[in-house]
Amino acid sequence: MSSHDAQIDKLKRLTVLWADAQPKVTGFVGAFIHHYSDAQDVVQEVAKAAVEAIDTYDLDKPFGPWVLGVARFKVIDYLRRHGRDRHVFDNDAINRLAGAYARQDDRLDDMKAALADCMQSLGKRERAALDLRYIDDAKPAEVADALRINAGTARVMLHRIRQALADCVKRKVAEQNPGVGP
Amino acid sequence: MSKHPTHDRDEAILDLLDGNLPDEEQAGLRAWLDASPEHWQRLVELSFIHSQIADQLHNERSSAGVRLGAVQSVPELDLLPPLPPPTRPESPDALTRQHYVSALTYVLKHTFTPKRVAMLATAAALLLGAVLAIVLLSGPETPEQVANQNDQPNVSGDTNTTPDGPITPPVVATLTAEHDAVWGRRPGEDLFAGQRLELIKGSAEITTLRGSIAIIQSPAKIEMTYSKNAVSLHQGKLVGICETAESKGFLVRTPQMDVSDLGTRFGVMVGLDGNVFAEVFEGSVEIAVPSRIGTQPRVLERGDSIAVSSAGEQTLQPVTDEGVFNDLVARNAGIEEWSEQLSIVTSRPKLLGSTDYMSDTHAFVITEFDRLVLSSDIEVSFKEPGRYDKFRTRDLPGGVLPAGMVVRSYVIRASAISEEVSVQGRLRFDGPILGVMTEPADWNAFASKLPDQTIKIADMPSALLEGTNKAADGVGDWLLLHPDRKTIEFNLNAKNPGDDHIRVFIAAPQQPVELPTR
Repeated sequence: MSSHDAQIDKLKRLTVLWADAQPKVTGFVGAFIHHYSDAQDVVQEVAKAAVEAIDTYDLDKPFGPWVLGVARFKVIDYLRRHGRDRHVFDNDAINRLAGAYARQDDRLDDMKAALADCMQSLGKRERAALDLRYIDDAKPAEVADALRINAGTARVMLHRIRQALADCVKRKVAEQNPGVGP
Repeated sequence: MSKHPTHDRDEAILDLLDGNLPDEEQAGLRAWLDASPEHWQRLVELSFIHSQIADQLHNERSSAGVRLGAVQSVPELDLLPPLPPPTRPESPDALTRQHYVSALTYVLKHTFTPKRVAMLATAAALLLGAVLAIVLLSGPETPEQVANQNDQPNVSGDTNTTPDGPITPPVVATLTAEHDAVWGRRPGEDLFAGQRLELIKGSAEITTLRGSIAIIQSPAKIEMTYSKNAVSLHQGKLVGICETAESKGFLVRTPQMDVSDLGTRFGVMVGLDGNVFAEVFEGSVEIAVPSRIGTQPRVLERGDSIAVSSAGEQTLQPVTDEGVFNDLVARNAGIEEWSEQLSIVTSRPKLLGSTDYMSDTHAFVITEFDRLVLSSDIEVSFKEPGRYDKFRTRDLPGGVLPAGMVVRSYVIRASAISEEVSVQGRLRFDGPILGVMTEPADWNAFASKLPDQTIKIADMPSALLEGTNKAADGVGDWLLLHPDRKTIEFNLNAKNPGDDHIRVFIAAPQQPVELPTR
């Protein structure tokens, strides 16, 4: 195989590996970047940087930790460019969370599938609240206005919905993997 | 680990993910995360679900091919104006980046079935090859190089410690008063997020950073949350008082339900069996049952109460004047002691109709004002200690409470259901009695010079008003103001039809209210 063919082969494999790793990267990036569209832009930048840095990737090593290493630099860069004050959730926190994401196994894939099921059980009002939060990037006060409840209740409502979804996901994953701890 | 701490941490994490966790609360969350790898794992789980919710919602919208208004799925929201679109300025290189990677990202981002892998991989490879050529022409850049460019030492010093030392959880409330409290704490002490408190004996008052007041009665277990205006009640009784705009929204979390204030006074009790009871004394609250998707928040108005069993069963029930919070709210309302024939009412009715608060065995002590600044002088029937029982001769000494005086007020009412009630009562307040208002001839506490929002006593034909009378045993109406000026005793005889009323004014306490010494 020529070096050109090897490069193409590597890129093909990168494509598949990225498809597996992309939810982790999205989750990691979304932990620090609150606007969905901004987070998506950063995920795109991670994909671009990964392609650009493909020569540094050793195919014999796990792809997840490597691409999360790329992602953490992109997150740090984004936060710095946007002047976010990060005295608490600083570079060390970013590195720790990247490390925690890198240690995840296939369970996140199971969680993703389970979440799709769990979201089907949402009532109209809960779904509307999530749409306002995630589609419209609404603040709790705006969610409250739309749902005609007070802001505190809206905030709690959003928390409750997501906690309930998290519980639902946890339950479904446990059902699919009996005997496996959380 | 109990359910509540977990949920409180989850809330802090979700606030962080939403960008709504205040800086001072981030320190507490960070300290908690650093305490265990499991805590970081929880952040992974919630941030992953957070991102996947967003992805799935956006993908559904994209699949639908139209941009639906978020509120259209709820019919009752149709009349509301749509939210403005999110405003995010385009970065200067947005178009360049868009052209450069959009096609690549589409291939990379979207998952695909095994049958399509080869096709997509080939397409992607061709695309990536083009990208690679561009990259090679512009020079290699490794992640480490990216890091070297972007991760310069932070001169401001990103650190998980403060200049004064390790991070401590944020202060969220202050212990403002206590009475015979046994829990090793003192008034004025700050309370921190995540702090668990067990009140073994007595009662205590906590004021949140937003000014909500929580009065807790032993035995009680509470936990401060990562919020400036909330508390978790694991066991015991709590009365919430939210009388300022800033304190509105005070949240009391219990194992079975969340009680969210809408500007009010309310009580919550968590029993040893896990059952929860809530009662609204004034204003309204919203009740939410946790972890129940599809459950609508329920609004309780003044006079409503609800019980939620540990199994989640909800029961609406009327409030009784002998409610479970009587002792706590009475003492908070400035009444230290009251005799058995008296019932304390804190729901502050606006009108006392002829059929309200009737009893053949009890008289009612109805709280009226916590702090009333008199706008003009008002006349009272007597002010000085002594026994008063010769009302028909209009020999009461009388007196004036001057304009500007700050008072608390109460209406004492005796109203018979059957033919006659004779009630002897004794009350001790936590402040000096400034004066007692009644009408010597008919025992009515007219309030012609009080503000409109005082309790109105329903108009009745004068023939039905009680004059000084004697019960069957020959004992007539009388009042006794003790020399301590805090205690009043009385004997009220009321026939049906006909009611007796007394209005008592005491000195309003300085804020914050300090619980009385019993």
